[in-house]
Order: sequence, then structure tokens, then C-alpha cells
Amino acid sequence: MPERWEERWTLPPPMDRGLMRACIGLSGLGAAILLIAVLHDPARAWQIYLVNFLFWGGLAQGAVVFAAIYHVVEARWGLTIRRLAEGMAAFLPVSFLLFFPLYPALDLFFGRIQDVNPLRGAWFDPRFIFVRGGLGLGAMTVVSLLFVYYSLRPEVGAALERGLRPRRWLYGVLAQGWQGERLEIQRSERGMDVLAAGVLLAYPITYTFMAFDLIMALDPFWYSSLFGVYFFVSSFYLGLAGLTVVVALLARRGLPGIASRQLSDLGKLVFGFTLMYAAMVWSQYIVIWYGNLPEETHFVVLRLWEHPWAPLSWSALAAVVLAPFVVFLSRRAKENTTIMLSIGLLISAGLWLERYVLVVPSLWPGDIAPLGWMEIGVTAGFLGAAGWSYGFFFQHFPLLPLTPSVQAPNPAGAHALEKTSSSA
Amino acid sequence: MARPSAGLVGSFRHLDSLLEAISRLHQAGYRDLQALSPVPHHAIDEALKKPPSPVRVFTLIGCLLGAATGLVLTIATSLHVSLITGGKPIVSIPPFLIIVFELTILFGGLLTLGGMLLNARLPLVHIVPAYDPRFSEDRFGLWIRCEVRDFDPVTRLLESADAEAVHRVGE
Repeated sequence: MPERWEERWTLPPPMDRGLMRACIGLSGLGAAILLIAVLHDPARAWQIYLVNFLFWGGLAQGAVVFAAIYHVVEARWGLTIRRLAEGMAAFLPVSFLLFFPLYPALDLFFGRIQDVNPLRGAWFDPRFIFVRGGLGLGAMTVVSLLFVYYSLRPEVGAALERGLRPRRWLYGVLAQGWQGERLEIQRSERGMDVLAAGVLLAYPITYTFMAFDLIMALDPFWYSSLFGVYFFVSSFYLGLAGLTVVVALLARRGLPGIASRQLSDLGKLVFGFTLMYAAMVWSQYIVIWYGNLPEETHFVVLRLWEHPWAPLSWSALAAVVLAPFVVFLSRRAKENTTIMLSIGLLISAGLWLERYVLVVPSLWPGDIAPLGWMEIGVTAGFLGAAGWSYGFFFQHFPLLPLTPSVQAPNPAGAHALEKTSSSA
Repeated sequence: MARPSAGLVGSFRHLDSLLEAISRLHQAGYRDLQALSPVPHHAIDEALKKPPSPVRVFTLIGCLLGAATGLVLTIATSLHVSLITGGKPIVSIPPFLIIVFELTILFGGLLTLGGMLLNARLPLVHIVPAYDPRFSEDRFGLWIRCEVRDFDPVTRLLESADAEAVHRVGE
């Protein structure tokens, strides 16, 4: 077994130092552009900041929720994919910190809304939204990080014990009070059991609040009780799409544990959630269509039929639902890394556009959709931050997880059955 | 060429041995193989190199038929009754799509089941002569239809792949 541990700790990280530096540079550039944009046109700057905050935070959280589901259902089909999902937790503390600059933005957004619709009352007071959002997001971040901590702790402790890694501060913190491999693995399994359930309970609640407070409430009159479900399903779908991009990129580089079967299984999951997402869109649409109430229909009409938002909304739907549905009908497409990568990027881009058309039309009074240097700069900044946090994770932790009770996937699956049949 | 009625059945203790035997028989040019396993396993499907299942064609036909039925049913009944509801047009596609979707899934599911039964030749009235009750318990079987003159080389191939026993059937 020791050589297997070593093998896992000596795999090169997916991002080299050059790429990491580029990501750090990109995030710095994004911050500078945001600063200039806020001074130049604060309303436009903060709306695109909100779009990106919802998009990148949702992507990271959706992937961690996938890892939690993987643990809860005791899945075995793609252990490497689970670790790649856990890595996205590295962006969660960054995302939590990025919530705080939203305070002046909330004041800007909701001050206007209270003038238009004073009946909204204290629930939509920007300070109250900020406090409950911060508390919810903070709790969600802590639970998610603790879940990933329990996944990493036995590996870090065992690596320190074997001298595979120097005792740096991060490893020291993670392996504090180490009590030996066997005991620690059992303890971590129990910890993960509880925390995975915690992640899965906290996720829908937090993301429902986020959807209501940070998207739905931006429109002074619109409300939909289903919107929370729609948002957390779409964020989970986004997490899967982001994961597909990473998995396809690493599969092209020959990462162990990702064979065509794992790709195909991930493709099936994405395909399933394409349908789930479409069902969520339809559930919203059909109820609003039947009711035909002006305070509900205006939200949909503005986005689907009116200039300048209609082409963006339809493009988002084509990228998020139509293209993946048609392409992923084919089994071969799901096993092809180029197609998986393209579809993962397409869904992600489509969902970015979807966040954009959910947020911006409620706030932007102009006749032309604001898509220029501010939008590109701020989005690039978030991309950089997500990139370096992900790179940081895999510079410090192994790409392939290993615990005795969770064995790495066996390509032929032969031995597992052999064991079953001989013991029968 | 007519399919040989006779054949050999190898019995294996381990899945790896079965897969090895399939691979060696393929290399030697024997293609008419049937595996008997206590549990379904993808590795066996892959080793046997069977063409993709024709059941998916049944599914596709079922889905298209279901969607068409749903559209015809909703549009035709609405036009027949012509009752305006909630100020909406008589032929209103959004609510019809729910019926279309449900019938797509229903017909697709039913034809998949039918296609599966048809292609698997179920329900099975006659048990294949190669069957042994142990193939439902803890052993894997491999049935090779071949001419009598091939019995010796096939037996050697099976034994070289660690077959526990080899016996003749269907003579």
C-alpha cells in the first residue's frame, strides 16, 4: 500500500506555476477594472459583479454538493471525479469574502425598489438582506469546508507520517491531533457522513434565500415560490458542467481513474440534469402562463420577447438545454473528451448568460444590453480567482483520493465480482 | 452457413478466467459465444464485442410515436370541443407539451420493454441446453457453438484459460 500513497502524492498538479500566476494576474486585473467601473458607473459595475458572484459561487458550491451526494449514496464510479469536485471548495471562502463588497450594491439596488414598491417592507431592507445572506453563506461555506477537511485529513496525516510531505502550516492545521491512520480514517468517515448530510440540507435553504434575495427581489413586483428550487437546481447543474470541463481537460492529459466509462457516467448525469433543468424552467413558465397575472408575466415577457434581452435568453436556453440534450443522446459523444469539454463550456457559458438575463433586466433601464469592457473585466477577475483557488488546492492535495474502505475504480471491475462470486 | 447445433460449455470459477477465455476464443476466430453469468456485468458485454443493442431503436420509435400521439390527441380534442378557456387560444401549445412529454415517456418505456422482451426472446420457454443451475449461483459459463471437429482445440483453449470443467452439449 505505501507505494500507492506515494504514487498519489507525486502526481503533478493540474495547473503549473505559470498558469497559476496568470490566474492571479487575471484576478488582480479584474479587481482593478471593478474599481474603475465602480467609480465610472456604479450601477453597471455592481450588477455584473452580482452576476459573477452568483455564477462562480454557484459553480463551486454545486460541485461540492455533487461530492456530498457522491459520499451519501456511497458511489464508487468515479473517485477521482469526487476529488476534483471537492477541490472546488477552495473557491468557497473566496466567494464568501466576495459577498462583503456587495453591501453598497444592495443599498443601490434595493433603495430604488423600496421607492417603487413601498409595500415590500422590512424583509427586503438591504441591511437585513446583507446580514441574513452573510450568515447563510458563511454557514454553508463552513459546513462545505469541514466536509472537505474530513475527506483530506486522513490523507494529509498519513502523508506526514510517511514523510511524503514537509510539515507546513496548512498540513499541520489539517492533521492536528493525529491519532493514527486506522482511527483517523474511521473518524473521518463518520465526520463526512454527518457533514455531507449537512451540506445537502444547508444547500437548498441557503440557495433558496439567495435566489429570493439577490435575484427575485431585484424586480419590485415579481415573485415566484418555485424560483428557489429553480436556482439551486441550476447551480448544481452548473457545478456539474464546471466539473465536466475539468474532468475532460484532465482526461486528455491521461489522469488515472478517468476512463471512458467515468466520462460516460458523468455525461449521463449531466444529461439527466439537462432534463431536470428544462423541467424547472418549464414548471416556472407553465404556471405563469396559466395564471396570466401581469405582475408575474412581465418578468417572463421582458426576458423572452422584448429587446434587447430576448436573443440572450434564447441563446442561453439553446446552450443550456437544447445542445447538451441533442449531443448527449449519443453514447460516443459522452466518451469523447473534446465533445465533453465543448459541452461543459457551452453549458457554463449558457448559465452565465442565464444569470445575466435573470439579474440585469431588472436593474438596467437602457435599450442596449450592457456587455463591454466592464463586464469582460469583472468576469475575467472572477475567472482568475476561481482558477488560482482551484490550482492552490491541487498544489497542496493529491488528485487521487484513497481510503481503505473506498477503493479506486477498477477499470475491468473484475476483482470486485470475483470476490463476491467466490464468497457466495 | 448454418449455425452449428452442437457446442461446448466451459465452466469458470472467476470472472477474469471467463474474460480471458472469451478473448482467446475471439483470437482463434470463434465468434458464436454466449456467456452465462450469475450477475450482469459490463466487462462480459465488452469482452463479447456484441453489436449495440437494437432495443434503442424500439425506444426511439416509441418516443416519436408517443410525441405524435400526444400532439394529435390534444390538438384534435381541443378543436373538436372548441371551448375557450381562460382567454387562451383553442390550440395552446404550452399545456399540450405536458401531455406530449408524458406520452413520449410512456410509449418510449412500453416499447423499450417490448423490444427488450422480443430481443431477449423472453419469456424463455426452453432453457438453453448449456444452462447449469450453478451459473445462477457461483460459476460463470461460456457456451461455444462449434463443429465437432473444433471440439479439441476449443477444449484446449478453454482449459488454458483456467476452465474448471468443459462439457459437450446439443449433439
